[in-house]
Amino acid sequence: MAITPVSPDTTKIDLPDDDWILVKTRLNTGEQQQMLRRIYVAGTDGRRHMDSLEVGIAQVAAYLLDWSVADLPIRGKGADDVTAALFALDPEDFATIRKAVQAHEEKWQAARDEAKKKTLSGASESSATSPSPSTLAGPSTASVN
Amino acid sequence: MIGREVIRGKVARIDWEWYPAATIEGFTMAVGTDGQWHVRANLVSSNAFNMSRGQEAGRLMFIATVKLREKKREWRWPVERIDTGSALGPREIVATLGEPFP
Repeated sequence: MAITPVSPDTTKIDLPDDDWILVKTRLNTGEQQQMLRRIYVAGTDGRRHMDSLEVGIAQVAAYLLDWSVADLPIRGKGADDVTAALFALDPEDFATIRKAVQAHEEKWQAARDEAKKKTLSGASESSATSPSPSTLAGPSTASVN
Repeated sequence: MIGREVIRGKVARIDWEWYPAATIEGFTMAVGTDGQWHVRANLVSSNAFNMSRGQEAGRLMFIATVKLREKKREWRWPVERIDTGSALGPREIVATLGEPFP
């Protein structure tokens, strides 16, 4: 897969009771780093340790752009304001949003992994000097031309 | 700029979706006789990559908190055309904008 910068695409996810959230389709490196920096905090031993209580909030805050909660506008707001809005929710409502964001991330990662597999199998097909699949190590899913 | 002066503001930004593209300090916005919005602004810093890609994608947004239509809030104008000049560093830019929305 070619190296390409991430475009700011969005995905709308429908939730129960006509609610919805708008999330980033994928995070770029900077956004992922910010999320991980929030989850892994420096301990007294100088090493970073995972703060398990931050995992859910950090992930949702990293992805969330907008939602149907009219009383808590978040579009265009920074991470601190989004976090404050998430903290204002009923815990069950937050759990619903968190599950939706997790599922979205897993779906995107699965699609990416699938695309990688196709690219790798395509690369072994196109090589004119590669040996026949039976002599290759690893998964033998390629066909010979 | 043709048309009457409508809004002056101190602080604004240009985003490519949620990616910051430019920081503005001082702008003057006007509506032309053709109903087209125009802005002249002082760009103080920018992310050249986000500005360029956002322009290519046609998804730059000029964002400012101003009083418009009796409401002071954050308003967004789609950037239809923008001239950022060829110089580096702080400089004046001009842009043609679409209809504002909250």
